[in-house]
Amino acid sequence: MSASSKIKTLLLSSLLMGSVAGCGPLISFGGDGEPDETYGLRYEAKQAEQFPAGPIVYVDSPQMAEGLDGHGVTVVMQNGRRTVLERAAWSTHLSDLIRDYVAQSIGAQSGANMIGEGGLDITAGCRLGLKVWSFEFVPGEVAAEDGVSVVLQFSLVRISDNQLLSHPTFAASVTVDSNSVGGVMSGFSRAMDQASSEYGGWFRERMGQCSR
Amino acid sequence: METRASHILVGGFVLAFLAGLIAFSIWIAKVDLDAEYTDYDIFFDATVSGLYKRSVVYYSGIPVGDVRDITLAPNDPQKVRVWIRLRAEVPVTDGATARLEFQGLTGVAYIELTGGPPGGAPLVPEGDNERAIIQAEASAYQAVFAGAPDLLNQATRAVVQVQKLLSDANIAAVSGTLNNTNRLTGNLARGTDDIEAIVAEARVVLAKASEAADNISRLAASGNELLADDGVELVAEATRAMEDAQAVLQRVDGLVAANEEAVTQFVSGSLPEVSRMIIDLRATARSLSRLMSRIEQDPAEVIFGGDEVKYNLKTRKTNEGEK
Repeated sequence: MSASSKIKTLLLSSLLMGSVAGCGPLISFGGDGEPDETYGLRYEAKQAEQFPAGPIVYVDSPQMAEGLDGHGVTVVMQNGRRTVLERAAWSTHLSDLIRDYVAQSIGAQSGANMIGEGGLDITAGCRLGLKVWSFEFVPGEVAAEDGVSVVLQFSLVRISDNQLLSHPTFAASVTVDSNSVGGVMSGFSRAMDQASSEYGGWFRERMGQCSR
Repeated sequence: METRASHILVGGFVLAFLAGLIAFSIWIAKVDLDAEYTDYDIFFDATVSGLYKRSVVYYSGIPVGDVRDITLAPNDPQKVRVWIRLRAEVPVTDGATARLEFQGLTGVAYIELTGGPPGGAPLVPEGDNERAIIQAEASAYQAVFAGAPDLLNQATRAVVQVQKLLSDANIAAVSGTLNNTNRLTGNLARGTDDIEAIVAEARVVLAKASEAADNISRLAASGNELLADDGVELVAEATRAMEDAQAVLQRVDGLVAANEEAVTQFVSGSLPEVSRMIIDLRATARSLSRLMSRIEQDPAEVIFGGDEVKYNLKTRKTNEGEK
């Protein structure tokens, strides 16, 4: 076997191993605890129009702050240490969940055509970028002080001239019933619902600039 | 035994007591029994409002008598006759005048007499008049009151004229004039600076124009040389290049014509595939990016699964015991 063939074989093996590893641990010895409960995010306050007439907006994949992306539910301890919630997980990558939630909520509130994953080949008027600064459970001194914190920063860009139309940040904090995992995850839904009413109004005021 | 009263003694005592009482009363009342008075009449042409009976009459500021009566003049109802009584020693001579004055702002009037020249003849009643007549003269107040209506009318007319002068239209016109003046002076001030700048720029432009003229002159000279020497060769090369380009285009045109079906298929079918491939590559790149992040953080966790610290809601601690 020649040297170039060895290099090719090595690269191919690495690629295969990486692809398989991306789906999960190569070798898992399993756990002795209970299986994780998986949760998603769904905007249910309002249904989107059947044939929205607003501008076409491409929703970019969110940029997640360090440690937020993944399936784990981030917990920020009082000393600042970050960990994940036991026996709870997001149903898919959190960035994908947030992207779908934002596209769904803005589309329902504004009548715009929000294009998410798979919409790169569609001519759009604007691109909606998103940075997730915080999406975490924050335990308090006592259970009554437990809460979740959500901080989202948007950037609305008109594609025709790359003009940054607006760059706001929305934050929402709610207290949660931390007696159960479901109570905590419900808190995330309420926080997102609270934030969505604010960024929905912000987007409605500016979406007219996307069609120029 | 009957007591005998002395009637003479009692009567004398009573009379003496009464006389003493009368004397005491006169002394208390300061009745000047020996005083002598002279009465005069004064005819005023205007109102004597504020003057009453018993009002004081002054002579050069000294109280010398009082007003006895105030009536209209018998022969002229437009005049007022004031009867005054003065002490006899007051020197009211020919040329004396009487003037109505007021005390402060209270409105109480009095009569002020001014004596005539020294050595003048005392005033005496003339004709059928009962009393001598002192000539009246208008006081400053009476002059003011007499002239007040005219003064008010004139003031009113003046105010009307001022109002006309200060009408909204005039104020707007004056304001506009001031604004124009301000703008004019501002323009003049700026214009001065601009003129200086223009002159400076003109100097620079003239210098550059002079330099440009020199360059143009040199360029024209070199252009002549270029056209004469290298121009012919340059034109020949350009002609050859155009001919080569035309030949290439003809070959491309022929190639496209020969493979028209394949080109059309590429544009209509392959290009969208390229777009979709880019989308897939983007998703793959994102997944690889996530994987690389996990490998960077904990390579063992990627291969053998995580033994990460987790937070338990019931114990409110991590599985390492941290709160």
